Amino acid sequence: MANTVQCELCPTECVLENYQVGGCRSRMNKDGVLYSLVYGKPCAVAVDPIEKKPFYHFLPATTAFSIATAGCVLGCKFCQNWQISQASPEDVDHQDLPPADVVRQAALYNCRSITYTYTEPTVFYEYMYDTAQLARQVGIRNTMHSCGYINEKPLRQLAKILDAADVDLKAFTEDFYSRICGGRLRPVLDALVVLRQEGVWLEITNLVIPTLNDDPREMREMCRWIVKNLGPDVPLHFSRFFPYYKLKDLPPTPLETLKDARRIAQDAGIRYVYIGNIRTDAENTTCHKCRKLLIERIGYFVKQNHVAGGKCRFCGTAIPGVWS
Amino acid sequence: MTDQRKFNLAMITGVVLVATVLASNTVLEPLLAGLGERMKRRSYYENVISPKGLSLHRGVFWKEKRGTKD
Repeated sequence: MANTVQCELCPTECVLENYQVGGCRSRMNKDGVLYSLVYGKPCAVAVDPIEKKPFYHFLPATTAFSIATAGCVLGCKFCQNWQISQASPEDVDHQDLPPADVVRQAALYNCRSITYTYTEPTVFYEYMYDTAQLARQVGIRNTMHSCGYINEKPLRQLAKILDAADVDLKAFTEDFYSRICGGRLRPVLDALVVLRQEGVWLEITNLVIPTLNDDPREMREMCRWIVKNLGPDVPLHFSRFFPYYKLKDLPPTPLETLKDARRIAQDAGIRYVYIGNIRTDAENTTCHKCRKLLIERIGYFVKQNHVAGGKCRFCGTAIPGVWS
Repeated sequence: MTDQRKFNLAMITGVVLVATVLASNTVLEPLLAGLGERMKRRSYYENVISPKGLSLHRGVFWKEKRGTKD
């Protein structure tokens, strides 16, 4: 068929006929040319603590200028931001905010970084890329919270101007990704390895959903994979699930399940394991060597920080992360 | 008109009829359906997407399949 194009941004690789919009809802073929419908049109703009992303080892106690456009490359039934991620750009309110204005506003609000987040930044790749380039020029860092469902070529290109990424590793089975998210696990694992290879600071978030991905055996397997392929210094956040979108029939994750997951991860050798979306002392960072409290957090706010020059103030051990 | 001529006429009419039905089923209907889909997509773009003031920013893509560009 004439004028058909194939998008190569995410592993779905939609083949689009004329005037057809991709599965992400934000990329369209018009007369044989692939267009982004959301460039410079964010539907969510906010100044957030970096801890909210969550980044616990990246410029703690700083703020991140956060933007998102409508759309997502996956269709997770538990999405916590489904109102914008599972919506078409034409169905949500947006504002005009070209890359230069994003950077200007980030500087105006004294944000040390810009985070591409809330929905899936892959869908606004061009917007993110151009913004990140401008931000780099004025010393503002770039971070993203992503599902990691992106092809290698665009990811490597993006990684050159990305400082940190928090990737949702939603589960460790192909079955989960296929049934619950409408995607595949393998490309996400590949993306994690690529980010690590490219030197992007990496943190991983795993939303623990009762009965769907809370099997201790699966968690153990996931943690072992992380240690083997990414190393023990990648912080892992176990996040509490709340019933949203299409999974309203499940209960919130019990605290005990999250504590068990944390124990499994620590036993597997991951040095920095956190529990999120619930207030516990597992939000704090302790030195992996001397075990002293390094960063005390209350929710998204840092109460005390004993990391000095990237090292533990008590024993001098280098703490993995980006601290200045 | 002889019987033979009548028979030939009936045969030709039958073949033309069957050919028309087959052609309609295999070519015309999908073509019309495709055309309908295309018109629907185009109309959606022109009446819904375009008036919303969304961008048409050239997307980065690495592959183009079967077709012309510009």
